[in-house]
Amino acid sequence: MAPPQRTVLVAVAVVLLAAGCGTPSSPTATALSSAGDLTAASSGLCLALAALPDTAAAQRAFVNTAHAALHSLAAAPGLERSVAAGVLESMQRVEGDFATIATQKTLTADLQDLSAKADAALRAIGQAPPPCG
Amino acid sequence: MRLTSAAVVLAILLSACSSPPVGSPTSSGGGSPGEGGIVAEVASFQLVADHPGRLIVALLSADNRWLSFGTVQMRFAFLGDGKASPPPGIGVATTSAKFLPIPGTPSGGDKEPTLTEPADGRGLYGIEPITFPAAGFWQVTSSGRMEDGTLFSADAAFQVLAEPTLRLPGDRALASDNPVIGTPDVPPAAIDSRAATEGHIPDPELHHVSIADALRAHEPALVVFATPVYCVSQFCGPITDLVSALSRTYANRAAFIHVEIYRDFQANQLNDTVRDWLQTPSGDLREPWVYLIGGDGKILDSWDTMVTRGELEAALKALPVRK
Repeated sequence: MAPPQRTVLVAVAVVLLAAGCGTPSSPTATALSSAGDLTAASSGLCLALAALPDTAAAQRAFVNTAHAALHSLAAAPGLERSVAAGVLESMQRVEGDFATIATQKTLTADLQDLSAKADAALRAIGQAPPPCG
Repeated sequence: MRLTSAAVVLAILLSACSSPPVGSPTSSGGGSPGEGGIVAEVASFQLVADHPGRLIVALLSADNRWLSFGTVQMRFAFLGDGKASPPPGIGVATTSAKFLPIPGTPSGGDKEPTLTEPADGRGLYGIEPITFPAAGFWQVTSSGRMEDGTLFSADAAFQVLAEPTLRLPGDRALASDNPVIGTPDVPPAAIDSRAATEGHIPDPELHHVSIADALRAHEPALVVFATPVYCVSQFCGPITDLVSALSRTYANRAAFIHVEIYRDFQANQLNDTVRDWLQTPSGDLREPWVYLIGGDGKILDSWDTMVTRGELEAALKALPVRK
């Protein structure tokens, strides 16, 4: 069964355009890093911080709102690798905190650090972090 | 509306592949939102004509919820090579695809497909094995009924290669001397990127044996290529954790090896083993990958993007118990 012509053209265009973008300097996959609103990285962390000391609620806010957007933010075109690294390393610490049930003090500090790095990354790509609080 | 949505998808794809640290989806393209507001994205890294492979598709809503659980129907259309109209008569039968949860997330049991927040369900829908009879561009239409009765349908296009760019099952594994704990002049973060944030290598059991060591000993090996910290998808960390967990149960079946992607992320320097195994001739590189190597040195199976505990356990149980 042949699909409608317009669908075919759009689909082929998508694949062809995507196929042309591999470069040696961009080595890791972005598959499913999520393509939503990047400012959700910042707003999700605000929600997580606001939810403390309820760690479970903070984790849900982090996973549901911030997590995918943080991956996308770190992968944003034009973002310096050092800035991206800061976001990803800080995110790894927060994930570790949730996985190991870190102390409130540690979790709060790591979430604040990640929030600051996410805001800096947003500014670096010309996006204003949403107000928090 | 349809073209606007497609334009957004195009913009996303293009923006996602123009600069480091971002990689590039070279074989797939997301479709426009279809019935039920669902967008499909093919996540398979390498599908090769006339070779059995695994097709995995993510189904997401516009607000970044995941379609999770149950099964969906997948229908296929051959689009041709992008230059001429596709020849008639080339096709693949409609097939049921099952939900494959990201390791550590809910499987949903017998639930029907449901839109979930990421904390409640995340995963892909997969078909394996599936063989595409022609190289070129294909379209998959994923459809079904959600738990609340909503019908959904979403298209995505993807490329099937004429020839593989990476090793396939049946090929001989490269005898790579990937760095392990104790290798001179190798920083811990080049062995596992988490060492940069945690101060130590978190899964030392995955870093005692190199691929070359396993091949020399004629021992099967399960090798995960992943960067748990610097992965920009959502799969690398959970898959590394899964391989680590399995190493404790199935140490009598295989050697377990984690190869970190980056020698130095900020300098954009790859580990040599990663370049040898995963970088395509065009310079593209996708991860994570998991390879199972047999005692005869040949690749028994491989999984890209993600793999479930059930898939790996079945493959490991098929190996003979080591003496």
